[in-house]
Amino acid sequence: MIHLFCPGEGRLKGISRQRCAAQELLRAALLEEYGKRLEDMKIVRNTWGKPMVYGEEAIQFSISHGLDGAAVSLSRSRTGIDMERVRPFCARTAEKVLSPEELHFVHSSSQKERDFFRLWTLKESYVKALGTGASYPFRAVTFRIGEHGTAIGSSGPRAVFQLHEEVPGIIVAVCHLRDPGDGDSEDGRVRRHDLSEGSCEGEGYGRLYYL
Amino acid sequence: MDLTGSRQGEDEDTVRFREEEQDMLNIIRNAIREYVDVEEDRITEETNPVTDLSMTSYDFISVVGKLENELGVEIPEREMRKFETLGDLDRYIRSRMQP
Repeated sequence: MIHLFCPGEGRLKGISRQRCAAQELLRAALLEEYGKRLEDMKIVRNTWGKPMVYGEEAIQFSISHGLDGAAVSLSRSRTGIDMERVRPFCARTAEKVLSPEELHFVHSSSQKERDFFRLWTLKESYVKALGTGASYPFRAVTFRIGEHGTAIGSSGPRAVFQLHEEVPGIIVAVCHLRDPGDGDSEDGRVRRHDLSEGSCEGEGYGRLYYL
Repeated sequence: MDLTGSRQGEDEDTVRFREEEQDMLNIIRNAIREYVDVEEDRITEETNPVTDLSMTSYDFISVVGKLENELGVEIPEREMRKFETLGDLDRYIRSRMQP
């Protein structure tokens, strides 16, 4: 399931607040979906920095946070999530990260900024799901966005993508990587959370700060 | 502390190298401050732009694009993802600008 906390545009100023929001969101998500307490889990990072729950392969998660909020994807398969606000983008960056087909798609779109960030977040979610850092060039995969907002990736492990645009101006992309024999268990549901903004002010939040 | 003046025992090449280092870091600082509201002294060689400055990965890749335009260097997307700190970015750019 996808868990979102979006308190409003630009409301999460500063990395500390963003990390706290992400941590609180993960805490709520784990409790709701697995009945587990974050405090009872050991969060470690793989070689490339992807955080994961130690000794619990069936609990996979990914986190994204920024000025506008935090997002968590919780899944039984490897997952990656990315959230961005739609805004003007840099043409040079687009040329660097989009395949020729994607560039054409964006250039001919009536919603260029929205479509650029749909593609960007899809790519970023894929990189985060793979969890192997720099080993994947963005331009190597072409995404085609269908009429209903679904996206299909090509090459590599079987990847299932979702795009969510429930929050105006915010795009969230999620990737689930499926190994052979995995079922299609992801239901694509989105749960909005209303975290207390003061909940991160206390002691004891340093342990998970690398989220 | 004087970061640009010569220090005892340093030759001219070392002093010039250190000055170039500071110049590049200042250029990077200015580019970053167009994207995030952060005090100048929080942007150092050891800074990780995503985890220390709360930049998104898109913000950082845009900063790099801006630096490419300003400095006339090409930084492949694959290389960008290897940079852990601004010092890594600084060193990569200067290595590409050397005659």
